[in-house]
Amino acid sequence: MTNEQMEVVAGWLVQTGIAMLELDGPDGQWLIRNDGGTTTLTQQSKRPALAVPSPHAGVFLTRHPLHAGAFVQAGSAVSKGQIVGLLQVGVLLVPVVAPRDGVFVNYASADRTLVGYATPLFEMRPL
Amino acid sequence: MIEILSSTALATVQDLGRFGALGWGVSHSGAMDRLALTAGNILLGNDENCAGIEIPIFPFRVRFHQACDLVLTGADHLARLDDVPVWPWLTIHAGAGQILTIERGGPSRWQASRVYLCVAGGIDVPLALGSRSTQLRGQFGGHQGRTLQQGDRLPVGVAAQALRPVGMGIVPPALTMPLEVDATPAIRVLRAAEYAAFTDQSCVEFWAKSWKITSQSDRYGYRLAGPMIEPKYPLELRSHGIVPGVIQVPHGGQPIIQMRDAQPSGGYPKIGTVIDADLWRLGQAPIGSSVRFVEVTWAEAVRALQDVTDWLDEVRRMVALGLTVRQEAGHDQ
Repeated sequence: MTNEQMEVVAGWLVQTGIAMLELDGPDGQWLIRNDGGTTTLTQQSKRPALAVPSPHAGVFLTRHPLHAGAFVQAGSAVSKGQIVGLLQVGVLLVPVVAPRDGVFVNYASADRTLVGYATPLFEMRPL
Repeated sequence: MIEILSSTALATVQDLGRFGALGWGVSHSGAMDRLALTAGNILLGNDENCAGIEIPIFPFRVRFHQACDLVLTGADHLARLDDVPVWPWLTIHAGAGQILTIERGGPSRWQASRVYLCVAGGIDVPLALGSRSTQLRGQFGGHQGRTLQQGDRLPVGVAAQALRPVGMGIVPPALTMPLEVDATPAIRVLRAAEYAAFTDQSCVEFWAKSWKITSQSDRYGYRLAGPMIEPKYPLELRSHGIVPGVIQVPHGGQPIIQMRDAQPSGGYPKIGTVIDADLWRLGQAPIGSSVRFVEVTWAEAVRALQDVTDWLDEVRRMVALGLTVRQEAGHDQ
């Protein structure tokens, strides 16, 4: 979105009395505040995605061994400590968790691949 | 303390069973899926015979009145602790006041029927004849000798190890040790004393056809539906000792498999015995599903039992190793 377009949107906010609008796009985030007719526009570029490394070697699982679907879908919110994958070592399953609150971007290692220490397992965008 | 919130049916407190009392007419009781309960206890650092809750009907809801680690083993399910998903066979920490809801799962790679709620420290009901298992017929053991009801409060024992913030899990044994014949879950069976008294045709079909587990199946026994099993001549036996796994054929020609709450004696002729190593598989077979019987020799049955022992040894070893790895990775700080 262009700044001109955002000015138009800011005008709509004033007309309708809406106090705040947050827009999240592929290039960044816009925050428009309407403070009694005075609007301020803030643009933030997105924070870089965080690649979460494997804590140890094992077979990376993006889904529970009993299930067909992945633990998390791209674009879904994850909270700190939430299980997003597993590392299988023999019969043992060790959870791979989101290190922070944020948005899950994608898996960086495929389901059932053997990974080593520090291999990127998934990417997330911390809040 | 755990409080049962759902109006529930058929959930019972079970440990591995009550042994040495068959002579007094007291059945083994105990978990229908012993591997699930044992693995759950190993994951939590419990004594392997600690009692858990066996849950065959859903939804099932409990409130934890104290913080504790827990794991849901056995059948696949959908569960959440307040709003956090609880994955099968993975430990999780519950805070005081949190509510655990367990519901029937969706499609799974393992179709099974019983979930085990294991807690660190175990369900600490009093021992009766050396066991915490519920003896439904005798109305003792477990929680007041009966199935659990809404409002019941169950004491939790003292955990053997410190609470851990993040969990660990085990690949369910149904995936590690699969057993199927023609895509039907299979159960290994030894010939029993009266096997030769059944017609050749019956014996052939016993092994060759699949058997449906009817709705008249519970912790006492499974009634099966399939081809008619007929004796060569009328068989009348005096009642004699029987144990879980014994497959009897009453006059109707449809077999009954004795399960964990089975009475310790019976007089029907026996065509086979489910081997001890496969009783957990049968204990998890859902009503309406089918199973196939696979004939094994005594030596094969002993080897199968060794496979189960080996699996449990591997679980113990890997859980101990996992604790070390997790500490080194800084998970537990």
